[in-house]
Formats: sequence, C-alpha cells, structure tokens
Amino acid sequence: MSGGATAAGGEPDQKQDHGNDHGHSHYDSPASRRPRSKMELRTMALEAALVDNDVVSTDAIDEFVDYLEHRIGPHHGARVVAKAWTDPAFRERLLDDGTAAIAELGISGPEGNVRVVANTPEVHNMVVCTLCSCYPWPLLGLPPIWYKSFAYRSRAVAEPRAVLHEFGVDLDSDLAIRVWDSSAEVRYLVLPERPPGTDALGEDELAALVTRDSMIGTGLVAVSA
Amino acid sequence: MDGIHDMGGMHGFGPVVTDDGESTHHEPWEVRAQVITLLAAGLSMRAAIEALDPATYLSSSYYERWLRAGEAGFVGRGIVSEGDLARWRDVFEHDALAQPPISSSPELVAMVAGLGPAHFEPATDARHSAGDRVAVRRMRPPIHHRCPRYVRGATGTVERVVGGDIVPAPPGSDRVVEPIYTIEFSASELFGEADHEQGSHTVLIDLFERYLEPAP
Repeated sequence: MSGGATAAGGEPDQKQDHGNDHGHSHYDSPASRRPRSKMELRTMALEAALVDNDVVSTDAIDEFVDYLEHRIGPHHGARVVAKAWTDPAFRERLLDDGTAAIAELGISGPEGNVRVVANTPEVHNMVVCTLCSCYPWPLLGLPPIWYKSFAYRSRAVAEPRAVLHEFGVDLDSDLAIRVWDSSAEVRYLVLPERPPGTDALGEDELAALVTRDSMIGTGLVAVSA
Repeated sequence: MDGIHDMGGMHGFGPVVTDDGESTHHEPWEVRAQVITLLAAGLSMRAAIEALDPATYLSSSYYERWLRAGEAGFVGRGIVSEGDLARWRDVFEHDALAQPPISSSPELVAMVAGLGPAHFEPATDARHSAGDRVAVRRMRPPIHHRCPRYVRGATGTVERVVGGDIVPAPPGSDRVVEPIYTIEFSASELFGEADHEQGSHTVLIDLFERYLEPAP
C-alpha cells in the first residue's frame, strides 16, 4: 500500500500510528505508564456502571472480545476461497448458499449470513457498507479501519475505479464492476480469481496467497503475494 | 432517519488508503466498547449510532461512535444514570490501578457463544420477482431505516429475492416481516454519466419491499 496518501480532511480514525496494540489487559495497563485516554476512561466507566447494574457480565464481554479479536479472521475466508478453487462441487454450493457451504467447514457465527460473489474474466466484485460497517465477521474478522472510513463509504459506490486505483488495482475499462452495498442482513464475500500458474499448489498453499483485500474486492490475488 | 451516516456518493472525505494499512483498530478499549454496547443494547446499536448529532458523528472515531451512542442510549433508557457514569469516570481518572468490577453470568456467556448468522423467512408473498424493473420511492423517513438517499428515485432491476426479514424500526416497535430484494442499478442511473471513471459499473443493494414501487 502506498503510504503517501494522507487524508486531506484528517478523519478521526486515521492516525499516523502503527502501534496496533492488542494488549492482553482489558485496558492499557498502569505499567505502561501511558495515561488513559479520555475515551478509554469513558469505556471503563460504562463497563463499570453496566456491570454494577447487572446489565452485562465481565465474562460475557471477555468471551465476545476474545471471539472477535482472536477466533475469527481472514484466514477463515482464505480457506473457503482455496477450497472453492480446488473443489468445483463446493464452489457451486458456495455460490448457491454461502451460509450453508461455509458451515460445512465449521465456519458460522454472528454477521455470518453470507452470499459469495465470484470474480470472472468479465466481472469484478467489490463490497462496501455505505451506512456503517456491515462485514462478514466469521470469514474476515473485524473490518479494517479503511473499510469503516468515511472516504471508502462515500466513494466506493460512486467511483469504484478511482478507489481501486488507490489500492494499486487498475482494471481494464471493459471489465464490469459490481459494487455490493450491504444494507440488510446479507454479508458479502468476494471469491477472487485463482491466479494462473498455481495448478501444482495444494489447498493450504493456495489459502496462503489469498489476501483479505481480495475477498473485499479491493485487491487481486497474485502468485507472489 | 436521514442522517450523516448515509454517506454513499458524497464528496470531500479524501483518499481511502492511509497509513493505517491492515489495522482494525488502534487501542484495546475500542473493541471492548463495541462489545459492551452491543451486549447491553441487545445487539442492536444502529439506530443509536445514527442518532448522534452530525458534528459529533463526523469528529468521532468509529469505536467512539459506539461508545457515545451507548452512553446516550443507556442513560436515555434508564439502564445507567449520568451520575453512575460520572462517578466511575472519576474513580478511573484518579486511580491508575482501578479496574471495573468483575462479574460472571453463565447465561450471558452461553448467549454470546450461541450467536449465529441471521436467518431469513421465506418471501412467499413477494410482490416483485427477479428481472422486474422497480423504482425506489422518494421519501424522508423520520425513523431508523436502511434505504440510503443515493438510490431514491432511481430505477433498477431485481437481481434476487433475498427472503423475508424484520423491517428495521426503533426499539419497541411492532415486529413486521417483509421481503427484501437485491436491486441492481447502473452507475449512470444513480450518479449520472461520470466523466472521470473509465468504464462503467453497477451497484447492488438489498432493499425492503416498502422502499420500492413498480417502475414507471
């Protein structure tokens, strides 16, 4: 990704911060000597008040956070894509009923009513949620910051080629683009095209080539990914 | 309601790709804030987030919006009080070692573990079929809905009948199930002829039957 694209408007989510700190404590530990941010204090206060009033429980919060942060992610989607590339009958079932087909691989969960749309030499698919952040959690985990950005939400439906260009993807002008705006309870996953020259690779090796962006439609799968 | 969250087609937000790269969030509290509010709200936060005032919405980060919407919604529904929140904030601000109280609920843990995908009901009474031409109604709903402005008034083609689902409505409303359709629109129908895009595209979006009418 090009690192030069600094947002002119400076969206609140876009920070020049590479410290994606997935710490093991619930909140920043005092040992880090980092002052708690205002929002962190407010989150702690909301949790404390809700726990105190018996609205939520600590173990349920921990369970859900652990699920979202550690038990789902793009590796699940990559497995599904690799299987679809190597097993034509599975591919057919996947495109026909995504939710049922991924359940065959033991993949299911909230935000998991899935429709899989396949890229072909004629059609490229791309997924957005203009209203917020709908995303196929069980297959891809939590959405990246850019997926939730105002820039992506506003532009993907109106100028997908310009957006793809920012991801380094330039498609032929005669290729049809279908942009899927997830506005109800269906969550969309793009089945990218299998790159040429990969006939000798097994499912695991193929899965290792599949990027998250290729399953959102803002990337393509390359052999030397 | 037609809020600032309805961003499809807007200008002015700059480029998409930034230095954030692959990150899903910046700090540990963020996902926790989302989870806390989801659980306390009964898994439905859309209406509350959309009800944030536009200036706050635009100047808050993604997870900040969840937090602010949770605070406002829970105080509004009497689940917590402003006093509770202020008292706890004071505790954490002045004691770097303080942590929220710890509780356990096997039932709530089981509920979380059992969360599954949304299910649709059969849309046996659907008015439209795949291939039909339909138009999106002109409207200005004052309540929570899922019909973005950029498709209103446009004519498209039913790509698929998805199934029946509960019509989005404010908490406490009657449960109404209605067919949902995937509608495909040409980019020129939605945005006019683009002079800057080399090549065409279509947009597909899932819409409830009440947002649609037969094409003129």
